[in-house]
Amino acid sequence: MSDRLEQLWADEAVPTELRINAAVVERMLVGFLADEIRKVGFGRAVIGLSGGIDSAVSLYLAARALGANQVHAVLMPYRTSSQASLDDAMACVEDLGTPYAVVDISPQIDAYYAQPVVPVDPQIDQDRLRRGNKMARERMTILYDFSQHLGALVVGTSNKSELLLGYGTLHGDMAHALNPIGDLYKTQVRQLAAHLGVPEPVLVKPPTADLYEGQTDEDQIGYSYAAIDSVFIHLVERRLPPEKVIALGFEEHFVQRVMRMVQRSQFKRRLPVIAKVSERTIDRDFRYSRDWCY
Amino acid sequence: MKVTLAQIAPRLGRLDDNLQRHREILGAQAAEGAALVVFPELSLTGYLLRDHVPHVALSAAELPGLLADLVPAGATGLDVVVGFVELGADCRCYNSAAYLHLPPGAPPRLVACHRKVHLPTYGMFDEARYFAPGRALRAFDSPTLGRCGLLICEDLWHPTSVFVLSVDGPQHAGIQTLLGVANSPARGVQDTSEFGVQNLTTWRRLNGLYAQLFGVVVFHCQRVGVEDSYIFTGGSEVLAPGGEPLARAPLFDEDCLTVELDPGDLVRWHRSLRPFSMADGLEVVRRELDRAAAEAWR
Repeated sequence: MSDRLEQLWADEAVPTELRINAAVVERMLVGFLADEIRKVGFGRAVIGLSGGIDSAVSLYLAARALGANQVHAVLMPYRTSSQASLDDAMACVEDLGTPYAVVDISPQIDAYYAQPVVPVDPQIDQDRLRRGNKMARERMTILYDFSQHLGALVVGTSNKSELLLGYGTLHGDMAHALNPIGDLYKTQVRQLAAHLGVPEPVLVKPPTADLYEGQTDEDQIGYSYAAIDSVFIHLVERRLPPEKVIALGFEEHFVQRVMRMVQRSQFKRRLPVIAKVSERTIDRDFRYSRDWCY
Repeated sequence: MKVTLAQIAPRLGRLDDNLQRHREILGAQAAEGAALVVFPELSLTGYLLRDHVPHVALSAAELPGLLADLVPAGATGLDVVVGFVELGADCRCYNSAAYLHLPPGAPPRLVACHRKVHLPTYGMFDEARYFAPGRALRAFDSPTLGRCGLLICEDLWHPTSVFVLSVDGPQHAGIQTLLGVANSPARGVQDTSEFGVQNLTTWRRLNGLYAQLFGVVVFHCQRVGVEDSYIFTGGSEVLAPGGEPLARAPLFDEDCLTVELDPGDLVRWHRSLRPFSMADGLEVVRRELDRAAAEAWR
């Protein structure tokens, strides 16, 4: 175990049930990326790097799986994105020596919203959310454009906490070819980050979707990831019904809110449903693995 | 006697490539004087086949022909355990493992074929959707290992499987060697897992328990590699009767784990220290099982 990981456990009081064997997880995920990318005929990865901990961890894992020069980082700030985020992302690419590109998405976002036919939401929150989603999807199209140009697969950066909460943009940051960290809760991604040696500022800063200046995930959701992940251990891993979790001492309002977020975002975790009319329907009775004969 | 556990990463659905790989490993092992090579569950096909199952199915009778011409005249004979999708005479597909003997300079012979009885169909597993369950638990005499039992993954989660094998034979001698083949996706990465991942910790407990309780040598072969989101664990192992681990393969990496031992000798020594048999009280067990079965649905 690394000193940094031990320090993190001590400083953050990571609950025992959320503690991971980070060396084993690294070995599994590096093997997963190398195998799943190479067997389909690719040797490279492209990753949207935000300056946050999730994309940093995906970048470090991919660099170890494929070699740093085979992983291309794309930094895609909007004009209101914080300089600190960009600096943190740069610290990662400089540390690893991976090739990178900075693509400013302001021109296309602003050009779109400047068109008179594009509606404006009077409510600021709604407007911010729409713009945030639009930016996430803009970044996705850039990553897939780089993907084709480089012959590189897009590696995802969504963690299990935000996937369960639905705290991501469908067809935006949720769009990718494969995801090494989607079965790790946010607090576990941080442990892995400490083990992998991501730069200190990335490790310690509060998680943010950088939707607007000063925004943090935990303020927006209303609870800390440590609390959310502890509830998930009971609700998801141990399959306890909400009333049992409340009986363990968690606030009723909190547990119900988390449960509602999970249920209402189920559609985001599934492919679009196809109406069955034939004898054999994709994903119903046409069932093959993605790795079918690779 | 040299025994090798071939902890490989089969390619999903690519029967020809996997067969080629088996032949390469067997050729090399035969040249090194191995007496037995064990491949993991579904080693010829990969695991997550789903609708592809019938496309890679073979009859057990086809296997000897596929493994022909590997052991030249003058060499020592080689025994092999392979995992495959078996096409039964009833036209249903089984998750099977076959034990073959490859005599030097002569055609291979099928010694035994076990069809997986317990098909996991819960949580991440969906086997009963694609496979029919086996209907037999039989020990067999192997040319090199004496009385032998061959079980596949979930079969080993039912101690009754090993119990039946342990009393199956002349004078209830039962098996001396338990061959287990499995495909176990790694899961449970809590820092408290003794062997890194929880599923491997459980497997090691099970294997140790069988070696100790039944006084058998355990050869347990796991696969590695990745299929969709599953990262297979590896960690194949060999245990002496009593439960002492004799050799362990690494996690997640391919490996040919080779041990030199005389299983019969180990078992004889171990059993000479304990004068009881698993068949002691068998009449009571049988009577009580019959009674419980009769009363269960009254």
